[in-house]
Amino acid sequence: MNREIRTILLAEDSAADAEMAIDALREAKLANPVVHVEDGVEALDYLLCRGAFEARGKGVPAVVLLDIKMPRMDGIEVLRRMRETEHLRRVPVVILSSSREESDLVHSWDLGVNAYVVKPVDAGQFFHAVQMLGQFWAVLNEFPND
Amino acid sequence: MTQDAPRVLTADIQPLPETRMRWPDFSPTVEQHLRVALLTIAVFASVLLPYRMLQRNANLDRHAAELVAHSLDVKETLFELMYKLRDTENLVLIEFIRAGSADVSDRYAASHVRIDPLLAKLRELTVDNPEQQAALGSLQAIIEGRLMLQERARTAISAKNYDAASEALGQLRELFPFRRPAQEFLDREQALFEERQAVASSTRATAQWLNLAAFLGQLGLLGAVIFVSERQVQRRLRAEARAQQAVARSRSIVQTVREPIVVLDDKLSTLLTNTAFLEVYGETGELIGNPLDTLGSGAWSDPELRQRLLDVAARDRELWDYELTQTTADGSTRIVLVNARRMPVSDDGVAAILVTVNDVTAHKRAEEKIRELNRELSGRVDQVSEVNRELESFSYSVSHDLRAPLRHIAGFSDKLDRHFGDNTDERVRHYLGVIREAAQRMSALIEDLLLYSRLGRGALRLQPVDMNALTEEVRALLTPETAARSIEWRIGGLPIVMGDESLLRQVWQNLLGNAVKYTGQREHALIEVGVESHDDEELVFFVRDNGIGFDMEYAGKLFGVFQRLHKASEFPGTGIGLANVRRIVGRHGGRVWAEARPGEGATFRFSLPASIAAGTVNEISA
Repeated sequence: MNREIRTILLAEDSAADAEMAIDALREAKLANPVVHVEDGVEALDYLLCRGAFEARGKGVPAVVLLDIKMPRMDGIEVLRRMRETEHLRRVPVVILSSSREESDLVHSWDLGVNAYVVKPVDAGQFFHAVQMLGQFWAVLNEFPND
Repeated sequence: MTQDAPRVLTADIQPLPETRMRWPDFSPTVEQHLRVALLTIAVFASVLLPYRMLQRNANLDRHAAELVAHSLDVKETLFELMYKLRDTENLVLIEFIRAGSADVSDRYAASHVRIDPLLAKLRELTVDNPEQQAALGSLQAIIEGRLMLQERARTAISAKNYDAASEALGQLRELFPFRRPAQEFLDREQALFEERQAVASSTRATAQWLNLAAFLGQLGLLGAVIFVSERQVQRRLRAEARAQQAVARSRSIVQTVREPIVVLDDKLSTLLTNTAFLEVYGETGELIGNPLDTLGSGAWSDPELRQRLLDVAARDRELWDYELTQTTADGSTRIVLVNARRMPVSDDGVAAILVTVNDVTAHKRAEEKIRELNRELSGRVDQVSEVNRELESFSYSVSHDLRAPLRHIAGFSDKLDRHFGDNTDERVRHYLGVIREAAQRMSALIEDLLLYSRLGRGALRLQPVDMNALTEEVRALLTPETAARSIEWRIGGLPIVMGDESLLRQVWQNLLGNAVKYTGQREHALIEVGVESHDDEELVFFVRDNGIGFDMEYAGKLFGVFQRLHKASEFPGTGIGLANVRRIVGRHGGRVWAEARPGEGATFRFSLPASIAAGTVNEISA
């Protein structure tokens, strides 16, 4: 199985959360590079290879980890646009949110999110959760070659 | 008409039932027809019948008189006959006595010639009486015998044979006696005459009686006619008085009624106005023939109303609740509803329109007030909605933003701990632990607060909920905490209620969870769950335990947010559970309360309305 190594796209405006998540993914010793963007607009730029990411090669991430509350464009809007874009439709999206607001949950699932995870306050649980997500989507999960 | 008089007005005014004016019915009834006919017959009878009877009686009388006259005639003729016969005989006797010297031939002939016609007359007179005819026959024979003997005597006298003459004369009386049969004839005629006179007088008496009867009859009839007609006149007078009274009463109604009323002709000039109309529109005197638009200083000059009223007159259209704003005599602006319909009957064939005026100013003002209040209310509702939206976004922010720093505090104190590794002392480790625990606790508090806030929002999803199954399910969820303990559960007889199942589950989770928690120190715990009262109004559920209970002095704090009656070190928890219970039960239209004694257990009760309809649920805003 000779497949290209896909990136893990992390959209997170909080530097602390991003640091903890990147640490966790690093400790999981995954081969997949982690790309960190700080809001929804940058996330879409990366996904659509435009703006700062115009020069990056083609290819879609193995998984997109989306925070909901972000400057400029929130995670749910990014999800909605991905589902509207032909070649991004099948890319796995995991919402990583601070809250379990019912309206956020309903919106996300209606838009076809692949998982919705509430970030645990406990540091150990948080590490564990992020590592599990990385393991699952980047290693275990299979997706079609487009 | 007072302006602020309360007035009941309904928007959907029902059309009045069709009431056509009824005039008194003067056409004669069958009874009256019959009476007139009978009276006519009686009049004719009382006049004609006596007339006819008297006429008949007069005829009878005349006939009787004729008969009497007839009898007299007969007697007179017979006497004349007897006289003539005697005369002839006397003349013959004179001739004899004078021995033919006296010439009586002429006189004799004159008498003799009368005898036959008299006999004929007698026969004719008695032609209807066979008996007298027979007697007349014998009389005639006697007369003829006598005449024959007279002739014989006269012949003898002329022959100077006096003896023969004397013999003949002597034989005259012997052979042909005349007096007796004549007397008999006369007697019979006399009897007949008397009989006839009696008949005539009886007829006359009858006629008299008849006359009297007719007189009395006519008198009675006249009296009856006078009596009946007098009674009729009295009745008519009474009816007229009543009719006048009715007219006066209806006029009085029109004048007394508080609504202005005006009756117009087809040119919209006044025929009648009532007192209220005059008062409201500042007019005086009896308005007759005044054009409508000159009344009330122009209050009636609305051209559309004018056209509509003309339509009412010309096409029998009705005018329903035409709204008009008028300035009336007292200077106030009034809103009135004008109703008009053509009157079913008019006096002189000209269409008359009845116009009534209904002052709805107060009603309209009230309506305006209601509209204003509604506007205000909807403004407040908008404000409340705005507040709700703000609360929503506040709670959303809390939910997202407040927990991130906690996560960072916990996460980085953990990192710090690992960074120090084994090089750190106990004290540092303790501090880091306190930081982590504080973050955890604050996270739990935020979580509970958000849950509590969410309970106040969102609609109830009402459905039938089997409380038996629900408590059983909750009890099963508590198994991890109860497995190692001796707990006696007494649950039974719970009904099915209408409610939000997931919210009611939280109620039972809290109440049963508390019961388990606060009986933790009992060797043998007893938890009872049941329904206490079960009437038409509400259902009261209870959870009773034999746990540590509490002091009723602090019962007021029991259902507050984050209120606790026990030390967190003894009994963990944030203190939000019973606040949630109260909010959920409240949203179902019920209430919750508790009673307890320290060390003797506690009983928590909550009620639910027996029937929860969506509209009766008491919504509590967040």
